[in-house]
Amino acid sequence: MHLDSEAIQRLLHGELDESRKRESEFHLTQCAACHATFETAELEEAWVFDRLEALDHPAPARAANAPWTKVPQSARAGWFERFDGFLRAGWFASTAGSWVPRAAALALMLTAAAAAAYVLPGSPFRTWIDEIAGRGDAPKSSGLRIPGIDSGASHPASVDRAAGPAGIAVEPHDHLVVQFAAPQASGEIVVSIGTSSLVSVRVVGGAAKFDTDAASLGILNRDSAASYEIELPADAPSIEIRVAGRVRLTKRGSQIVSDATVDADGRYRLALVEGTNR
Amino acid sequence: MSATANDSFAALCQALFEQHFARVYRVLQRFSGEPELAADLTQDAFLRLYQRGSPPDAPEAWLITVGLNLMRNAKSTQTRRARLLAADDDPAGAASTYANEGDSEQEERVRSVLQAMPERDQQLLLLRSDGYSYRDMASALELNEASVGTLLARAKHEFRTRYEGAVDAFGQ
Repeated sequence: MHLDSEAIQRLLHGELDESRKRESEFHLTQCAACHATFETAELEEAWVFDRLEALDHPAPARAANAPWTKVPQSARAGWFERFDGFLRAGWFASTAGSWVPRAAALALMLTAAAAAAYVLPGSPFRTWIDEIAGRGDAPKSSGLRIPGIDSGASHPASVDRAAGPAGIAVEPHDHLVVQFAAPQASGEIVVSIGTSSLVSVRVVGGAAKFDTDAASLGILNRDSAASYEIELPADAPSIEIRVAGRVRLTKRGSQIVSDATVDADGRYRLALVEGTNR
Repeated sequence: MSATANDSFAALCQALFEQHFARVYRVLQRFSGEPELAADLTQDAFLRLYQRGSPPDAPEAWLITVGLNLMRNAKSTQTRRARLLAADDDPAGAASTYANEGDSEQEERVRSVLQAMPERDQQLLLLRSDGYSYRDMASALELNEASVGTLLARAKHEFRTRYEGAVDAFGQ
């Protein structure tokens, strides 16, 4: 018996209990018709939800504080108290009382702040660091460099194989679109989910240029034959990967919708060659 | 309630505000097309939670239910007002109530397609696109939870068909 519409949707949204989920997933491996229906439902949902994003407008700044908060939080506590409170209430709650993880978190946050200062367009901190590192003419980009990599709109991602693959890493913010400019004659995109807070793209076996702003990471890959390894932060709220404007993978929270094949390591593999993966 | 209980309820409200404001706002803003109104009603929903004095069983579902009810009331008030104005000097009347100047063509098209659909289907799409669970959607829209998936599938299909029809009609 085929899966009905309710079961297909529940499977798509993780709304089946574990045994029904296993049964349904097994059924999809045996039934080509249901498998096709499931894939169509997945793609239709990505298509519809993508259109709905055209309706979004940010909330007015005045709405940022809770209505019962007369005095902004920032006026009531110093930065150290707020930071310490954040650590006690959050990730490190289970180790409250021990200064070691909190000190580690402070170091981590200082590193993140330094990284943020580095990527800020026009930041003197960036120039300062580049001068120390002997890279006075470094390109301006909102992306972070990663070892062996040169990035930025005006600089091709490196082709120096001895230095390892080239790439870029950027903050995903609330929503990020990773946009490949064009399909390629060969090559693929391999997407994995990682623990880093940044979206990283590594170019393997070729070259590409990058063009970044706060909401998008453009990969100018025309005439490239490279493959791309993309790592998405597990906690990034919303990321899309598009090739020539077509949505190929959508991540919303922990839910991923894509026409990719999934390999044995759980990575999503998207062919960059036109007409494949579908 | 004791001072300690009051404090812990206030802390809970604050945590809920930080966790859910963006989500409730986005649903209401997408539904209405009016960021200012959506922000006010989202704030109002959280204020009612705070004034309630105790946490509901399912805060996420409670907040979005209150938000959608407030939106429904606001819309009917606006529609009545628009009808009165139309009788005087606004020939466009209620139909123009939610049109925002400067909307992109894509936004206008999505909004007109969405607004042509039954309100329940609009809200199902908006809630699910923001990751609300079937239980929360059923509770907010007073639906049988067992049929949420089917209704959602129909709503998505309806949206796509209408949208593609609208694109064809404009030859784009």
